[in-house]
Amino acid sequence: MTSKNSSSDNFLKSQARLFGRRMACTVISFLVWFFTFPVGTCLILLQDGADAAYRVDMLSSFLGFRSWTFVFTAASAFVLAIEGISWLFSRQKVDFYESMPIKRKKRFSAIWINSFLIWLIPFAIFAFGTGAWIAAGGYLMPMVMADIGVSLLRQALLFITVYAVTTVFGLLTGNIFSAVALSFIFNIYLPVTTFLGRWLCEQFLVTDPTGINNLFTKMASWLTPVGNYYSYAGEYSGETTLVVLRYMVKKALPGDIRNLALFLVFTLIAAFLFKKRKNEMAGVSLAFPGIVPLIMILLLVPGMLMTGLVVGTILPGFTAERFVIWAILMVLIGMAANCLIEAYIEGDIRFAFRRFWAFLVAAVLAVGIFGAIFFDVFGYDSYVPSADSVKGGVFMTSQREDFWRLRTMETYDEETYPAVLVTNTEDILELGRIGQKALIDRDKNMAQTEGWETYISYVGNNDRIETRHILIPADIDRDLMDRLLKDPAFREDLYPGLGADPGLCAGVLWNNVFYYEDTLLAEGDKAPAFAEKILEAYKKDLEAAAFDQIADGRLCGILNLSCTAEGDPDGKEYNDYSLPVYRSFKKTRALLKKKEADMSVPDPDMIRSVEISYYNNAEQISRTYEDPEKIRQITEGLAGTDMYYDIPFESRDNKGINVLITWKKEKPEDYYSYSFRKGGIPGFVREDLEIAP
Amino acid sequence: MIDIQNVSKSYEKIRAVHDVSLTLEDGQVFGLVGTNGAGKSTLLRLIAGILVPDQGQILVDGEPVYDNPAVRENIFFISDEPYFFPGSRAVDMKKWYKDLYPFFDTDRFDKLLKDFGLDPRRRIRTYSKGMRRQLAVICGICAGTRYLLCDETTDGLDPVMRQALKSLLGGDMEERGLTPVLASHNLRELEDICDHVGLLHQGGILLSQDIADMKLGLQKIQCVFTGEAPAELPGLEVVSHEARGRLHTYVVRSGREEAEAVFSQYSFVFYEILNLSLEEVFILETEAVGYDVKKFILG
Repeated sequence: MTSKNSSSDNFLKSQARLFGRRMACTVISFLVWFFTFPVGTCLILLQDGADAAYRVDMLSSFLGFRSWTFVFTAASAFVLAIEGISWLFSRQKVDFYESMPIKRKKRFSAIWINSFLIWLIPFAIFAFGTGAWIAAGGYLMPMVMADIGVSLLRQALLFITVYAVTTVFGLLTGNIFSAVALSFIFNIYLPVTTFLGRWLCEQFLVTDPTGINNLFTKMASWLTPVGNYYSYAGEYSGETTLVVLRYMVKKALPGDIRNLALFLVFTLIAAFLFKKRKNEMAGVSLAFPGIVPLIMILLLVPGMLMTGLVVGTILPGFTAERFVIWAILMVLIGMAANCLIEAYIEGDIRFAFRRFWAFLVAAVLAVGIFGAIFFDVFGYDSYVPSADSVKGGVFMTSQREDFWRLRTMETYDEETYPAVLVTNTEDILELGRIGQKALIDRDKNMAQTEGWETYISYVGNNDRIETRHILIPADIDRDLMDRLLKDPAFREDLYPGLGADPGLCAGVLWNNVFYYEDTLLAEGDKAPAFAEKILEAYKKDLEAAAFDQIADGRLCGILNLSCTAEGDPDGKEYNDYSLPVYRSFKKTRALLKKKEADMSVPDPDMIRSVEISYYNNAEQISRTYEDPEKIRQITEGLAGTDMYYDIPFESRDNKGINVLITWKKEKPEDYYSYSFRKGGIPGFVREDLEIAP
Repeated sequence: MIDIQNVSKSYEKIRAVHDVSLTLEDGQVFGLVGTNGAGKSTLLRLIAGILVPDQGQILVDGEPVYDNPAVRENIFFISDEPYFFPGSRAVDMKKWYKDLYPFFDTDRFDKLLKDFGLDPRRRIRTYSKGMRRQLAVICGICAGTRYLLCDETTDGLDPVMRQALKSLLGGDMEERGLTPVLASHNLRELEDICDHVGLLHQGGILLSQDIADMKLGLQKIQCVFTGEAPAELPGLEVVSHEARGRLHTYVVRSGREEAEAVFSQYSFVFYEILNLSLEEVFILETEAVGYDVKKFILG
């Protein structure tokens, strides 16, 4: 007998069948995205008193690339993955599905695709539909569709990655409870264990302020889909432009690539497990009994370490006796957990000690790791680089020589944070050894050491900087400190690696170029290099810049300078200046243009009115101009090089001279905001607003 | 033809099926009997391609069945606990099976639903256990497959429905060469429907034989001799002999004519050759190979 229709199980039919079978999931997905996108948008637009900027911000926060809705996407992937394989947990369903004339891999991929479509279709319909509505309504989001597109692509990648990870851990199990528990645990396993690692290192490696922390923080996201998705994110607000979008996509790319790799690897593992999984395992705790010891070890080791940490917070101190108490408690609690898990897996308390060897391995590992960190077996805490591997060092001081002369203890002061660069490596290493030891003695051995806590950075021959936390004891050798502070190479002006011009600002102690997360950098531009370009190009402007010109917004970079206070010949008082780097500068403009930043100015013929406002002694003065000639003059000024351009992310401040343009077409929210600078302000405006020359 | 070759299957340390070899010929009704846990369901699930044998292989028409849709289009498995989609109705299941089984007969499905008095628009969850089994059987019959595997399907069916099932199977066997394989723990249920019976016990096959052959080879004679009963019956292998007063019951291994020829040498007050029930045949045959089958077949 031959089949009369060999393609009866084609793709569309199988998808139709699956949609029918998974109707509840489909309906819930539609409801979630319906309430998120169109309903959420309605609620925002209906809010009384919400201004355009607020609306744009709110709408972007769930429609665009910085959408928080990834939480729903990750949850959808998790639920659909579990639901998609849940038939494997019931013998009745296994008998039903596995007796059907469908190839197993076809069923696996059909469910996989169907899950994706259940998420994708409502998301795309409601997100793009809402985007089209917003665009048609003129709610100031010209890039809304592209923004939604980027969001959808990134969330799609997140979805398939979470789905793959969840499927793998679900397939290892044989019942729904184990599937949910194991998948959930291993979806968050790495962040939790890295958090634990950070906590351990913070508790026990006292001289490392950031190194291991940073390493663990990075690791936490690498194997975690949500971590990868969110790793780039900062706090953004305002309108999304093409430049912003490009920048964000580039910034998100490493995390997205990691997710793509995770997706591919976990999908292959899932396919392999699905192929190897025996159908008779429906209903048991774990479908692959061989992995039980591995699961036990993976769960018990961090579990016992966590126990050790909790106990450690109750019993502080670093003595061997305390370690023994901690270790015993860790092992006892670990053993209890082991027995409970085994009893659950076997479904019988009598098997609580089955595979006890796995527990013993876990206990040895946990106690070993704990002991190694506790006693700093590898000498990480006391590590000081060798003299021939470093070319210098930096240590931070807030009070320079006075501190040592007066022997006064000062608290760390964020406002003035000078650094001392020393090339006398022997002395800087000696300071490191003394400082690290003093800190270890105080924090671990409960020594009552009086001193000053600070940071020391060893600058390696390869320019790699390693920073350690130190305690400079009050009774430190004064000669050593004198030698350090009077080092011939001593320059109070530079922090290594930035290469700023020390002549820029008289008596500069330390300058640094900070960037907002949203700085518009081209690919390959590293922040310091970009900063140097700006610094070089606008040296004059910066030298001429006065404090009252500083604004928090409307800038593409901030130059943070600590300068000797004017009128202080002794150079003991400092002022911190945050100098904005504006687009208005010619070379900045050229740079930005090269990097395809939007430098356009409004067309005067399209403008109905212009409102200019100015804060004069904290009082805002506004004038609205509708005369075409005046509008033309104003826009000419806007096109000049001596003005501030509005750029994304800036917050509205009250220091500049703001220009608000209302377009001729009826879009009340459609405005364009600029700020004048220097001579860009037309004379009649200056008179009307009583702006001093 | 379903060819089971040295198949074994274990669930961790529990041996469900052990070194079973069977041949299920086309056009026969094959009955699998055995107690709960004897391995019937496992063997059926292996035949259906739901499980993979640990050892041995199962060939259906010469091809392995596991993950082989072309073969599975010709096999329909009715589980001891039939599954229907939550909230579904008979028409929904018809649509599902119609898409999957190329020879699914929708007209017949509708007709049988009507004949069995099942409302196609009613939610299946509101059906009784027996009605759900009826629906499963209807789905299986209408799927148009060559093999129909029924796991304890007759359980929960009333005698009328059981009879209807028999006639349906009989009709399909005649019309399109259906080969049903029925598993049951109750030998009596299979007696009048099966052509061939395999007895499973503790995962192994104790016996597999055509019922007709079994019955033809054994004769049950009840008689009251006019004189003394003979000490032996020359030329006949007496499988069992029971005497209650003057009433003697013999079971002999021979053809009917041979037995009649031997017994005709004696004079009787009363003499009758009785039909052996399948149950009796099984008991005798399995006892002959050393098993006390009463324990696990008849309870």
